[in-house]
Amino acid sequence: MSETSLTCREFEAFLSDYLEGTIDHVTGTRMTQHIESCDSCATQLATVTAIVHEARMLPNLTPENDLWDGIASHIQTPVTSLPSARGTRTVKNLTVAKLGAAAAGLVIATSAVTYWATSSRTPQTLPTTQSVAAPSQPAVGVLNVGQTVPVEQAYGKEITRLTTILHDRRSELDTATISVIEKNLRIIDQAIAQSREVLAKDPKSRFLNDQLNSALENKVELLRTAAFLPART
Amino acid sequence: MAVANTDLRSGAHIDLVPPDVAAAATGDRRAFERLYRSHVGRVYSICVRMCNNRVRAEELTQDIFIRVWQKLPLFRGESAFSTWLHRLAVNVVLNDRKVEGRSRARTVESDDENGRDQGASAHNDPPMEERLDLEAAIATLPRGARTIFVLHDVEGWKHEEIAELLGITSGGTKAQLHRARLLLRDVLKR
Repeated sequence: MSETSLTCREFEAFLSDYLEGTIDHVTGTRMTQHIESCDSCATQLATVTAIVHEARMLPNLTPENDLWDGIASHIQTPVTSLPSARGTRTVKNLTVAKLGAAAAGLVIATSAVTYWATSSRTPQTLPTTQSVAAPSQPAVGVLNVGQTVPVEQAYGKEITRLTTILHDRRSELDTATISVIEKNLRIIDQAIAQSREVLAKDPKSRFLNDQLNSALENKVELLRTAAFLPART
Repeated sequence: MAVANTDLRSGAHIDLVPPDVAAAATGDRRAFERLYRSHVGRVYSICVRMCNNRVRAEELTQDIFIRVWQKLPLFRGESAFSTWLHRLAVNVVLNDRKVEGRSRARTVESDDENGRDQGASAHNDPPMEERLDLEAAIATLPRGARTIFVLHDVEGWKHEEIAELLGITSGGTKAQLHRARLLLRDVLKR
């Protein structure tokens, strides 16, 4: 670097530091002297200064769409009512994340059930009557004494329907949301599999049937919530 | 309702958290909508200018405000709400790049020999005045230079803040900023 005067190339290299006032005093003085003798660099300095000034003054941009509705729908999930063997239950403000947490808890619970059922305990039997309700329909039937309940049949149709809806809407949903949904479904399916395994050894156990029933209800609730999530805009 | 603190000198209460922020943090959706209306423009602008895609910017803006709703109870007023919000917005945009970086077509954000962004599609508005020309010019910048130019010259971040956020040195941010300014100079000359 020349000790007496800067070249235009050197001037350009120091330009940003000169603008921000972070250049050393000696170089800054040389920059100023160079501007006084070089119209091209003086113009360059003025241009870049104007760009920086204009950038600071840029107005805010406006979205084409009003994004509030999409935001509002995410911060408060619609209420979903699901009938159950214990009567109608209203599920409020369920989000995919909360269902995921419930699914994780379900795995823990069914794991404990598996341990309990495989230990030496007297199996429980069904009560004299039991109603099994499809999630979106009234009770499909009332058992007579001695009959076991194919609870999966009651939920299977609804699970299939909701799974189809979710599959058809996959492209409308955010990829991160899909990932969370699929992860939570795997957790719930694991709980269902564990319940089936234990129930196979003691099919008349009311407790174990309730566990499987609960796992299937959770799957339906998750699928329903996911199937009717707002599409990403 | 405002979260108040006491001025040690005068004993007067100082509002550390704006009323709408405090209200929204307790679940007041109307207050949160007011916050949204007040800040959506700048948040959206950050998203558009950094990711260079208006459709994706709208998605990110929604994601940002949903996260704001979730994190509002954690806001303690150590900084201005707008500062906290905009920092969150920038983090969301940068994280989105990390998640989708490999899946994005590299030709969209690739540089040509002159360092231009060949895939710029964010700003299709007809140039009507100087500011729109600058907006369109920013969209032509390579991603790295565009990010630093937007954060520093448009949003007013300091080099040290940008460097910490991006995990690079402030020397690196200065070099990228200088490059961005010279590229813009060249584009705006035409």
